[in-house]
Amino acid sequence: MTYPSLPPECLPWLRTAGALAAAFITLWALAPGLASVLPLPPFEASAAAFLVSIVLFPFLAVLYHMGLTPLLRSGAKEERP
Amino acid sequence: MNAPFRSSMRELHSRAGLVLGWLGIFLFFMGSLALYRYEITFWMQPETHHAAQRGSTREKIEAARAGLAYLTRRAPDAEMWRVNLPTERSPVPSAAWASGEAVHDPHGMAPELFDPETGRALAARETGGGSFLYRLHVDLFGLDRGVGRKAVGMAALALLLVCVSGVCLRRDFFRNFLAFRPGENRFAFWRDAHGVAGGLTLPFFLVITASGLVLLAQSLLPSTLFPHYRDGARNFVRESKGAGIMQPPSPTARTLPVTPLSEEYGSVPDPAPLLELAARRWPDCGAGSLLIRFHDGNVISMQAVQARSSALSRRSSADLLELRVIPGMDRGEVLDPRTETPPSFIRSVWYAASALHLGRFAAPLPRALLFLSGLLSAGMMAAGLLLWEKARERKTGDSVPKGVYAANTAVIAGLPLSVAAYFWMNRLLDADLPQRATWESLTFFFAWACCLTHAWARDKPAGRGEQLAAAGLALALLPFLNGLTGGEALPDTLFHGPAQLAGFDIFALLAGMGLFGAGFRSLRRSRTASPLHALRGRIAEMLDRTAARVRGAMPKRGSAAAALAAVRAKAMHAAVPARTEKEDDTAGEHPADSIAVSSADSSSATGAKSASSSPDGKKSPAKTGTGPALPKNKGELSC
Repeated sequence: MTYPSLPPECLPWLRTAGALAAAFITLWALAPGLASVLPLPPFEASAAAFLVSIVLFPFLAVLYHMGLTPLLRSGAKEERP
Repeated sequence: MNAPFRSSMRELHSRAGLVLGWLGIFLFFMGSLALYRYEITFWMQPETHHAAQRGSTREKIEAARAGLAYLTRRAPDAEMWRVNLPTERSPVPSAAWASGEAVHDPHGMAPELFDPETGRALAARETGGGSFLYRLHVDLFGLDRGVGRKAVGMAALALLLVCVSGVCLRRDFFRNFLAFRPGENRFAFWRDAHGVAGGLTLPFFLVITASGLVLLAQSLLPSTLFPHYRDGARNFVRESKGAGIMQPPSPTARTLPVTPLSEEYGSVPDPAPLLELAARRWPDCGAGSLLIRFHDGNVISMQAVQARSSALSRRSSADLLELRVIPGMDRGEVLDPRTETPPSFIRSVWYAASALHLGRFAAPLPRALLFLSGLLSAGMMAAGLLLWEKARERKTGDSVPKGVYAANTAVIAGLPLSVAAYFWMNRLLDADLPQRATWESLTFFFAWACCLTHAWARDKPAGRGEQLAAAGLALALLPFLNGLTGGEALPDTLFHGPAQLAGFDIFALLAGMGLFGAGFRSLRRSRTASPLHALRGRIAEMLDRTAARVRGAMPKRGSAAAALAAVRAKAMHAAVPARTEKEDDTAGEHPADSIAVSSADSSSATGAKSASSSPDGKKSPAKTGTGPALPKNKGELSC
C-alpha cells in the first residue's frame, strides 16, 4: 500500500510511532488475561504478568514495525532509513 | 539477521532514539542527581551546616535526647513522635509528630530541623532542595502526578526498545566493545563514543530501566491489576512495599532498662540502651530514626529503625527494633519484628528491582557508582544525539533542522546550566522570601527555556559551546558561592567535614571545569562562525568583485588586476583545503551509518562549512565551488 500524498520523510516516524503504540495497546489488552491465567497468588500473578509484558514489548514493537513497513510506504521513492 | 529485521531495528533505533534521547537524558540526569537528594537539600540550607553530625552512636544518642527534649516542649500532646537521627546522608537531626489518623502515615509528618547542641529549632530557608530534582525524575514536576508517571513509564518502556535495537544492530558488539578511535573524523568519534558508552552502561541501563518500570507498574499498565485488584491499585502498592508479609513482632528473651530521660520530661525513657543495641545489631549504619508511641500520655513503645536497608530482596525498607514499655516498670521488653514470611521468587525479584532502583541498600561507594553510571548513560544518549546530527549532515550535506539542534543543545548543555541556575538562585534569593521553593523551581524552568531560545537563535556551532561554557562556569563557581553566602566553605569541609558538603562542592567544581573545557573546545572549533570571520568573508568578496571589475577594465596581461586576481585565487585555495577523510571500515554497522551516504564529511569540514555561511545563516555559493570562499586564517587574508 502506498501513500503518495504523504511526504516520504514522515513515513519512518509514522511507522515507528505506530509500532510503539500498537505494541503498547497489545500489552494493555493481553496483560489482564495473562494475570488471570497464571496459577499464582494475586500479587505474584499481577507482578509476573507485568514482568512478562515489559519483556515482550520490544519484540512486539519490532514485529509490528516489520509488519507496518510494507503497509506504510510512500508512492515516491523513499529514503533508506 | 535478515535485511527487513535490521532495517526495522535501524529505523526504530534512529527515529525513536532521537525523541526518547531528549527525555532519556533528562530522566537519567535527574535520576542520578536524585540519588543524592538529601545531600543536595543539606547543601541548599546553609543555616544547617554548622549543626551537622557525623552519625556516630554517641552523637545519635545525644541527638535523640535533644530531639525528645525538643518534642516535649513542641508537641507534648501528640500521640507519636519521630526523631530522625543524624546519618551519613542526612547529618542534621529533625523531629516530627502526629496525632489521630496521621500516626498511620509516618512519612506524612513534616519534620523540623533542630540543633542537637542547643536543642533549638534551626531556621532553615525554605527550599525545594533535592526533592525538586527527584520529582522531576519521577513524575516530571509540574504535571499531574498520574500523567507524569505514565509519561515517564512509557518513555522507559520505549527506551528499553531503543536499547535492545541498539544492541541487535551492533554486529561487532563483542569484537569492538571498547573500540574508540578519537583521532578519526567527528562522525566516527561520536559513533565510537556512543558505542563504547553504550557497551559499558548496557547492564546498568537495562537494569535501571526495567526496575524503574517495576516501580511504575500500577501507573503504566493498570490493566495488569484488573483481575486481582478490582478495588484499585492501593492494595497492590501496599503489597509491593512489603505490607502483608511482615509477621507480628515476637518477643525476645532480652530486656532493656527503662530509665526516665529526666524528671522534666515525664515518662519519656532514655533512648540510649535501645540505640546502643541497634548499633550492635546494625554495625554498618546503626539506627536512622526513633519512633515513640504514646497512650493516655504515657510512652508505650520506642522503636529504632535501621538507617538503611541491607537486604536487597526486601522492599520493606529497613529493619527495626522495638522496646515495649509498661508504665511503672523499670525494664522493657525487646520485640523483634524482623521475622517475615520468606518472599516468593517473583516477590523477591520485584523487591530487588525496587530496592536497586531506589538505591535503598547502597553504601556510599555503590551509590557513587550508581550516580556515575547514570551520568554515563546520559552521556551515551547525548553521544547518540550528536551522532544523529553528524549522520544527518553526512546524508544531506546540509546541517540538521534548527529545531532538532536547539532541542539537542537544550538537553545536552542547557540542562546542566538550568540545574546550576537552580542552585545559584537558592543562594541569591532572600532567605525569608515567601514561596521561595516555587521561585527556585521557576528559575530552573526559565533558565531551561532561555537555553532553548538561545540555541534556536544563535549560530549553530557557537550556541552549544556557549551554553556548555556557561554551565561549566556556573557549576565551578558554586563552591565559592557556598562559602560567600553563609555555607561552610570548601577548605573547611574538605578537612573537617561535613563530607556531604565537600563532596557536593568538589563534584560541582570538577563537573564545571569539565563542562567549561568542553564548551571552550566547542567554541574554538566554531570560531569561523564568529563575527570577525564573517567580516573577513565580506572583505574577501569585495576583493573578488574589485578584481573582476579591474580585470574587465584593463584586460592586459601583467596588469594590477591580474596581480590582484592571483592574490585572490591564492587566498581561495588556502581557504578551502581538500578534506577528503577516509571512511571508516566499520561504517554501516551503526544505524546512523545507514543515514550517512557518500556525501562529503561535513562534520569534519566544520570550519570550511561555517566559513561559507553568511552571518544571517544563508549559504553562500562557496559550498558548491562556484563562488568565493572565505580565507582560512589571518595570514592568508593579509596577503
